[in-house]
Amino acid sequence: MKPDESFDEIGKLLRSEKPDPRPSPGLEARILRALNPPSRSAGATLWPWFILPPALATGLFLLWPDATPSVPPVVRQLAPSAEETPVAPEKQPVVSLAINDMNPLRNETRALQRDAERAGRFLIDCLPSFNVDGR
Amino acid sequence: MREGSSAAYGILVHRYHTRVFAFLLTLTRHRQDAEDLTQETFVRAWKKFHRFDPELPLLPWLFTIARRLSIAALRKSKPLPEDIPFPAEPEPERPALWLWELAKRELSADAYSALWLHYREELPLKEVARILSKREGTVKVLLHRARKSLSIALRGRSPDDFAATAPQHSLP
Repeated sequence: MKPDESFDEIGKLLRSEKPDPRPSPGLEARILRALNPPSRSAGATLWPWFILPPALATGLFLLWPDATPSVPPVVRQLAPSAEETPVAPEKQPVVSLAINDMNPLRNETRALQRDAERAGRFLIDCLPSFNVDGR
Repeated sequence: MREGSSAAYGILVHRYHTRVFAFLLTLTRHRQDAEDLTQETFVRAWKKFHRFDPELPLLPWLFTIARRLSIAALRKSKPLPEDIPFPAEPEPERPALWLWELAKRELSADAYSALWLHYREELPLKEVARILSKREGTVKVLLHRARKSLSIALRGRSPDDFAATAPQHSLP
């Protein structure tokens, strides 16, 4: 018999009866367990989606830096004029920054000056008959 | 299957896990390692199932995954034991099984797994080559050498009356 024929015989012999090694009986269950790991219940996976967004929103709302300060800033206002006068009021500087920089005593001085002028005019108006020549 | 039916995949596991295990045993030669790798093979196949072409047979695809995993595992672990005990004398009525044991001892892991895929799983050379990531010609040579080695080992180890016990497969 040629060597090649003997090799063929080996192949035939190998095919004639085949080994059948069996794994442990639990292997199939083990594989299936590995495929389906125990998952958490649906409730356990869903509740964070309902709880967390409102909690985050609340936290942001509370911690967000406030745009309007709780204590209102001190506003300096011009002293109101004592009376309406026919004299055209002097133009006041309208720029708020300029007001803040102005000396407050200056307004008082101006008001006193107006009062003095008014008093002078009053005296002139009230004594029209006073005649120096009639004396 | 494509939609991820784990029940259907369970049927596949039931059908093929023994054969995947047996193939991995030819590569690892260690039962526990083969079982671990079988589990890993099916988990990997489940994750990569979208890549499987349903026109092709499933088992060679599983064998391919199994071999890749075994290579990665063998790289990490210690080398195979060199000294595999010689198989016991053949039972007169089961010479083929003894020959398989002899093959496991005498052949390299590559040659033995090629022999397994071709003669045990009856896969064509082309498929064996694809699973082992080799050319078809290389597999042919591998099988030829394997048969030759077995023939020589058989002549040296087994008495002449071994052939007489298997008249339908007369050996020189």
